[in-house]
Amino acid sequence: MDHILLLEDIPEIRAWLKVLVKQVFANAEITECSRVQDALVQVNTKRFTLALLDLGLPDGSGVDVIAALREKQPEVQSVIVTIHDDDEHLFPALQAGAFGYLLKEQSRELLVEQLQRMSQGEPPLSPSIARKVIAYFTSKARPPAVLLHEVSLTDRETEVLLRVAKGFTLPEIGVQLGLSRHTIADYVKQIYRKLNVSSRAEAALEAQRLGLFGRN
Amino acid sequence: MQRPTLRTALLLPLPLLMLPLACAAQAAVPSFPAKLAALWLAGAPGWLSAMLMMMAITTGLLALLHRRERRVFFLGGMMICWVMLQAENGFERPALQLLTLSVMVLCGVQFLLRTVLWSRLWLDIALMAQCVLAPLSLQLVAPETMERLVTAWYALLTVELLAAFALHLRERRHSLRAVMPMDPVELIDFRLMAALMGCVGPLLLLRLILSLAASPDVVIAWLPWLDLVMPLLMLGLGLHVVIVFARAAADADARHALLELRMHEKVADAERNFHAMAELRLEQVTERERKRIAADLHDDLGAKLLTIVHTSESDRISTLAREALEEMRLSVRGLTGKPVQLLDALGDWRAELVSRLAQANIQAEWKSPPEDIVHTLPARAYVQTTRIFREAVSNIIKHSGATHCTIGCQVQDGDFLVVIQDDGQGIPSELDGRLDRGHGMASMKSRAKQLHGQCLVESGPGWGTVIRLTIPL
Repeated sequence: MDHILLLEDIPEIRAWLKVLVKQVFANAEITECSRVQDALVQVNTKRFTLALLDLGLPDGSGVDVIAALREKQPEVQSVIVTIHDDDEHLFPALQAGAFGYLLKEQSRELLVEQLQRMSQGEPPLSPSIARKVIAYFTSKARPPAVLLHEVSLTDRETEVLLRVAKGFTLPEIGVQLGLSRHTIADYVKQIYRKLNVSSRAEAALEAQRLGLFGRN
Repeated sequence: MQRPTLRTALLLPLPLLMLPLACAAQAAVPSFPAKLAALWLAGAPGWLSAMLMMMAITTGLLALLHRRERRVFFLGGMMICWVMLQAENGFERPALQLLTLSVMVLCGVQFLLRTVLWSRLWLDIALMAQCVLAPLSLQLVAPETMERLVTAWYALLTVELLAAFALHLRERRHSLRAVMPMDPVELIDFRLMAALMGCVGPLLLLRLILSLAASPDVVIAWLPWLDLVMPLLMLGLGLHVVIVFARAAADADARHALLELRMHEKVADAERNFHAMAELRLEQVTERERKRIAADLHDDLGAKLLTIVHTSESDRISTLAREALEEMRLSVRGLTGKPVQLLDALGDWRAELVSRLAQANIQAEWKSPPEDIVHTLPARAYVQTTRIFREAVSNIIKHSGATHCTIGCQVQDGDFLVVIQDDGQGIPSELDGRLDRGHGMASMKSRAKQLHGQCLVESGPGWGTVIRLTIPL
């Protein structure tokens, strides 16, 4: 049975999200939180299968919860539900380990469909996010040590990203590359996972470096 | 650099050529050129004195106005002494003449040595002592030996002058060699001085030898000519001083002009920096302001609109609120967004529009331009073009009843061209010619105009609608 964590501070929207979730996961147990601290407590005490998290909360950002989930319950799919569609907000969340994102104001049908797809293993990928991922992995500024963690993209994955950036939909890409939609979705999942691993490694390196300096 | 030496080398024999003329002047039968020479010689002291007086005054004025060139007073002194000597020639006062001569030599030596920055206290004292001793010694001696003493003093003075020449040239050569590569101006000066003193020195020596050893006839014949050597030397030195001053003035002018130019450059630089800084400052402040507005909009307005979207019972209100939210988001993008690469924008548009058309069961075909365009769109243009695209596609979905839609984009002559064609029923003819708000044509056209472009719509019942959008980049 699914256990779903819901983090949203505006009550009407939280209620609406609950309805949405019930439509997709009929038998799920839902835990509602309106503050980051509550959510973190819940992460420590309960085990979840899915988390729907808002980004902008009164006492912090949903990104912290994503990071906590990744650390303590890595099998949980964290999905951001946000009003921001710009990559500047979404990208850090993806780096922290989010599985996918939903835009709050979309119609119910659309959201249901997207949530269903995500639960089937097909995270969304918009052209602007794809561009940012490409830029991230090709930026020369990254320390070489990170590459040792085998978090560079394969050629196939880069192909997929490039085509998404150009605006092709996933079915179209499947046709172009001769792959099934499911395979493409797997690639996207891999890409997100690598993004997360790479970001965490980078963060750890950075912390280590700062720590070294701090010790002096 | 070779020419001055050659010229001065040619000048050297000239005074020597004049001497036969002098001899001829003393021949038994005076010829016409000899008479001319004799006449000229007779008047020489007169006009030479005049010239020297003038030159003394000129150089004296120059030295007065130029604090660092006080040594030139010595040259003036030397000239005045010579003039006085000519005046004293009539009177037989050997003591006075000797005094004037010693003062002249003092001035000459001091001038020559101070020009090359060589001054010693002992020399100053010695020269001044000499001026006092020389006439004094004449008084203390018997009249018979006086003439010989005079000759002896005269020899000493000549030797001192020649020594001063040698020292002057030696010091000049030293300072010339000290700087590599050689300063061309200093080189010219050295060569001029060398030439001048090279002529005058030997002639002075010759005069000395003649006055010591030669017979009175020869002395009387040659001396007047050789006596011209000193004034010519002084004239030469005086002219050189004037040249030096003129050069310095020209230098100062050039340096002043250069300084002014540099100052202009610096001022222009400073102004440019200031402007750049001010612009940067302005940009930062406006950027901060925009971010603040964007955040406020998202938090307050966005949250409220969202609540309307999800809590309204009316579908239509929800849809309207949703569209309002989308519009707000776009506006914020236009406020805070950075310029977008055209290729990236095309990717965004393609993803959104093709999927929307596909959801409405319209087969969409998108033709992209080749990959090599590097143009960028400013944020506002990106936002407005997005709105135009959305409007056009909404029309197609809602009103056209089309089954197939082609969107072609390209860059031509610095303009971004879009052609959207559908195979629907077209715009009904009764609306043709009248801009109908319901179909959003008016807003599309006005948006295009805001971007300094244009939006043309061609339509006809039965053959669909073609929208041509042109946006300058």
